[in-house]
Amino acid sequence: MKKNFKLFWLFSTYSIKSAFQQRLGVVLFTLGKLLRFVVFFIFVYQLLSKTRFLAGYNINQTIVFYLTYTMIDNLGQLLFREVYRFRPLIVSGDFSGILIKPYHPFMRILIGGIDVLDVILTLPYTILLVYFIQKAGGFTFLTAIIYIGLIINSLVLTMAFHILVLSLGILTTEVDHATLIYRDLSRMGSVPMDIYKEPLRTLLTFVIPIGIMMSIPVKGLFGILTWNVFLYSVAFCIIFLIGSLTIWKKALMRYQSWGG
Amino acid sequence: MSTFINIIDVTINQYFIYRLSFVLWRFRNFLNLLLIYFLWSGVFVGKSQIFSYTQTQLISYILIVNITGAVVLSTRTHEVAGEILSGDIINYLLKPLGYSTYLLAKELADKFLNIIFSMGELLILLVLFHPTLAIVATPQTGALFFIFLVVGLILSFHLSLLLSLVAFWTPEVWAPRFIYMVFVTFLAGNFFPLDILPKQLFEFFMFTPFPYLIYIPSKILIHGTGTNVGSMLLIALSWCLILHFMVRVVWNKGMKEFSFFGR
Repeated sequence: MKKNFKLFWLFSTYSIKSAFQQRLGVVLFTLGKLLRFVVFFIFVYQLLSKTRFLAGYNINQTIVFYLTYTMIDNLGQLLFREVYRFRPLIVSGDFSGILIKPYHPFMRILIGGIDVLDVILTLPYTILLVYFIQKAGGFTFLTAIIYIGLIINSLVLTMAFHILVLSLGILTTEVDHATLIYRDLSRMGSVPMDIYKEPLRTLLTFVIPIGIMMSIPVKGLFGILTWNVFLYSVAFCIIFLIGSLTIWKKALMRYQSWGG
Repeated sequence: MSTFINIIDVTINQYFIYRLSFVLWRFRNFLNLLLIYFLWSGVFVGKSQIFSYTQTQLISYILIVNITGAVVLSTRTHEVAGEILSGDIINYLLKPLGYSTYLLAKELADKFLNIIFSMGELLILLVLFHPTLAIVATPQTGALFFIFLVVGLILSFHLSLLLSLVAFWTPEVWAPRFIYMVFVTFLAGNFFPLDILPKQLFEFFMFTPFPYLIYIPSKILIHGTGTNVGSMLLIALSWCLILHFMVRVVWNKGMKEFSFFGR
């Protein structure tokens, strides 16, 4: 565990150093991300200040949904950015060089390249999230614990999804679109799932499962989550992770390198 | 002319070689359309009118934006940056065909496919959710819609090309494009009609090229022709001229400074 943490720290340091080789890019991308967040935030705020409610949630609650989505998405991007760079490793055969190293390949291909832009943005997102949770009210110590637990659950699901993408990378080399579709699907969770009509709502909540990742933690916070759904979320996450790891092992067996 | 048609043909065939990529790209657009559609439908629950829009008008706006966006924003000009950075642009400059003609043919092919697919997506949405559409279907609005659509297309082409030409001086081409896309998403009216913004802000944005990309053509189909169409057209055409001039200047300057080796 200690060795893995040291490796994670080392890879992260390298990743940050390498990102800062292009300082202008870092500044512009951070600005762009911040701009996108602020403009959508203002849009939702402006809209709900007129309409008061969205699918039964008031303005502060709706913003908590949006900020929770932003936070989970941001942490996913921060931790698993290296997955976006997996395809060239497979195409070039350089992945073999990682497989022979004395550590688990996930240390390098899954969490081996944290995104410095998202590290910078985590702080303002956290401050805003805490502020709007307090403003929304309607939570207790227990529901706050459930909320944090379900966010961890969401991050495990995010990790499982990225492992699945890595497997797909070995089997088909199609990584880019898979990750982008995941991001677009998860963006549908930036608003409460309740706005979607059935059967799309059930599909998004329990099958795909954007709702489990983005919406259900907030419902847990506001104390409107049933225990059945809570247990389903945790069970789904465990099964999805086991499934992803199984597929990864099978994909790894089919990996073939070439060259010297 | 046959060369022009051949390039269109080759570009379409290229898409069909990488058809999964194209289908997935359109699927991503459809997901975004669903998000916006349901967001606005949810906002109207228990309300007949928000800002100056009825639910029917706003949903119609969102659906029309999907088509307008496919026509105006679909482009291959982002590839120019890659071609400059890799040096591949030399191959095209040496050919007995103008680079702008080559680009135009590729643009047409790209727009053709995107229009077909976005129509299909709209049809799926109409069949699934049966939204009522409110379109002012008169010859005047049709003609104005078409004029502003073409103007939007010219603006989008020049803006995107201008961003790619930055590659003559720096490899940092994706960050400015990312910021541009953020601007386009919100200021072109992709998410919401711009006139729901505070008046001063809206009036300020109307002096930028962004509203003329998607918002104005789509708005014309929903609310018909307004009294200030002339001034809007004047601003949009002025931007077309300014951007065209800028592209020419930047291209000529870039060409003079461009060098590459190893090809």
